[in-house]
Amino acid sequence: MRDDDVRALLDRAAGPGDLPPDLAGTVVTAARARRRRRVAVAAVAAVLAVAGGVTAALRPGGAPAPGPASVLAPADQELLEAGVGSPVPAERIVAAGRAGDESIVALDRPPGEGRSGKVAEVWVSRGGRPYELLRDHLVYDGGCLTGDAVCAEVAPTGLGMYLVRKRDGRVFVLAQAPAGRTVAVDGRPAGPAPHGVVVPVEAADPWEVQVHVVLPDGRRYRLPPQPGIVLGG
Amino acid sequence: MSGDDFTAFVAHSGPRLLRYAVLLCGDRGEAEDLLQETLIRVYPRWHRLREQQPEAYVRRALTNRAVSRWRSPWHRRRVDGVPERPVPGDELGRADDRQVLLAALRSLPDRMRAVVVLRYWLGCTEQEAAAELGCSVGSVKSQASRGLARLRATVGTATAQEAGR
Repeated sequence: MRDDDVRALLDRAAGPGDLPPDLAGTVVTAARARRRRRVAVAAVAAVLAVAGGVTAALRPGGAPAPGPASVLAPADQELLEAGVGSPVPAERIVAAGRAGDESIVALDRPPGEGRSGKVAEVWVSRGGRPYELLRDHLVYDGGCLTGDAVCAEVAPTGLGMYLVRKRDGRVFVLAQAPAGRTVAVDGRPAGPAPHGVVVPVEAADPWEVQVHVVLPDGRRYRLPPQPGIVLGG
Repeated sequence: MSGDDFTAFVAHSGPRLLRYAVLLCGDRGEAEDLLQETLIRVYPRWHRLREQQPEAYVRRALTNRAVSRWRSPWHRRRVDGVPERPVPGDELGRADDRQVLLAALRSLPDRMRAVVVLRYWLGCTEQEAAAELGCSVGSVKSQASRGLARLRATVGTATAQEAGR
């Protein structure tokens, strides 16, 4: 079967492409109804938040228990959810940052998918457009480099993750480390990064980038490069 | 927001997008739902999109949404048997013929099907298909090759059954 044959076969399988009657009208009506529902839900949430705040303020010494807030700006969160197609809870955001003219977010993959180690998916947004999926399987916290005793010791508490973004001749590293630790990229300190930090690097070969995590006592371990961490395109 | 613009876009690009969705889902009804859901989400941003390449954008959104659906715990892949090959030649025969082909497509795993559609129907390069699906070029290569082999075997079996009749 040649490529042309496959194309012809698929073309036949696709059928005539007759749209359901008044698809555009149905879509416009449904989109407006959806928007109204979202506005109503947001209004109710705002009222509840205000009411909760007032109640907490009236309670001596009381304060509302803070839920995890997204590390993204509200507009960015909206673009992310538009791309993902569903709400994205703050707990799913492993790391986020801005690399050049694009925003990058690494999201923890939902639980329940049998696998070892943790897996993230990487989304990017440019020019205020909704996020697009760049990589759907990026392993992190998956293990240590052979002989890295510090890494092996702290592995149960989480190691962190990094990826290398290569685009338009520029290379950026998005790195994340658990709270209380700092990150160093190619030997340069990049500070704490519980929600990720972006560092531009000069690297002829992105695979040569080295990311270390420094513990409060000064010991350090290297984040192992995982398959697929170099993201082009 | 111009509803007329959007209506014209749906009339013009909708059939191509629906055909893409049919191949992506391997099922006409599911494809109509997917397209409608995607357009509902795209419509609020139409005023910005219409200046760009809205068809490419919606196609990408269809792919993303299909991938999200496949990952959903509610998604259960339906693998039907490939129906018997119909007598060709008439309109009904052609419709049944499509069912045979769609069933063959449905027998492929979701991602493999998407790779085959992107590579061989849309004519994407391996790099473009990888970017579209958020996976590696190596994965696209292997899935395309295995998908093609499985499609060839499935359709070939149905054709042999027809010839043996």
